Amino acid sequence: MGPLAPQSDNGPIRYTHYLTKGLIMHEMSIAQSLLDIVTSEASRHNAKKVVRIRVRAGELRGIVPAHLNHFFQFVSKDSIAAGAELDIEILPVKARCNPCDTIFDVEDFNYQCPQCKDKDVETVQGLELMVQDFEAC
Amino acid sequence: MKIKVMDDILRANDAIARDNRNRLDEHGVFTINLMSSPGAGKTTLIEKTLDRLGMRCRVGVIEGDIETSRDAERLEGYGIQVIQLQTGSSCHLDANMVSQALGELDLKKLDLLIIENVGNLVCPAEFKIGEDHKVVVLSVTEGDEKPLKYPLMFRESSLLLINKMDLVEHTNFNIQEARQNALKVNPQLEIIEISCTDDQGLEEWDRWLLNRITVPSDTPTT
Repeated sequence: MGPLAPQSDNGPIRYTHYLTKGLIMHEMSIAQSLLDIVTSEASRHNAKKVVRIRVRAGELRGIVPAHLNHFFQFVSKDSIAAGAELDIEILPVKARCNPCDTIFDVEDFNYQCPQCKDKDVETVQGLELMVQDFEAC
Repeated sequence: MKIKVMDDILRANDAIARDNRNRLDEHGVFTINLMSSPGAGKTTLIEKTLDRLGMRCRVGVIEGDIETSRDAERLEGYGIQVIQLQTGSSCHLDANMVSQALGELDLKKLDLLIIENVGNLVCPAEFKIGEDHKVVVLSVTEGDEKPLKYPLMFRESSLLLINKMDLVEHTNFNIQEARQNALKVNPQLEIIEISCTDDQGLEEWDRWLLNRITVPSDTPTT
């Protein structure tokens, strides 16, 4: 039961108390998803211990590596990934210009093609959030 | 041994978000994910929207809050379907929370669903929840540099509402600067300047919504 009970059974408002596991930042949710993926892959390969995990995070994701690492250590402490080293690579933002196909580095989040100056551009790098691989024994 | 994974960390969330989107599409419910920093005026905007469009289409609201149900209580008098999601201490809604809320709503009786995310310009932008569009509210009592500080939020949104325009002359908020910053991050972003106090820009906001909502022809409009 959450801290707030429904005011009435028939009222228009229904309270759905969604109890999370005490999540506080997006890095925490991401750490939990990362752990779920790694532990399920590890058990599929009969691994006993995960020692190092490589993660690729696009710059637009706003991941603070120290935070992700901190939360990962917290959520993984009773798992086979406890103490695993997180190697987080931040990928800079790149975009492709739709009219002229130029691929360019997006600096200071300026989404304009440096060649033809068009603004019809698509992000091709910078939104990733991937588990690349991990070392286990 | 080295185990190759190459898996998207948010894949589970994105899959549930797609599922939510399919459920909403099946019932023809146009859904927006309304995001801003705390105090930018999301709930007041929802009240205004209900005042203005409540007779023309059937609106439902999912309110995301960390602890309280104050926002949902504010909407109680409108007699619409409101679901309050308390996120515990989570700073954003995710697809799974929204999926639970959708189970509580009678989707057959909705044309527009407004999901008010937790007040925060960082984390909500990370998590798809099944929306058709993300809409970001920036009020003139905040800074005009916000789009550059929180690029993902403005990059992912389809529409920016610059709110509290009635107060702009009392602030050092530079509208041109804010527009330029937002369009730099997202050249396709639509921008409407609004005030929920003197109603400026709200007709344009109504039109933006009504152009996208499908109201079944047998729905009573009065």
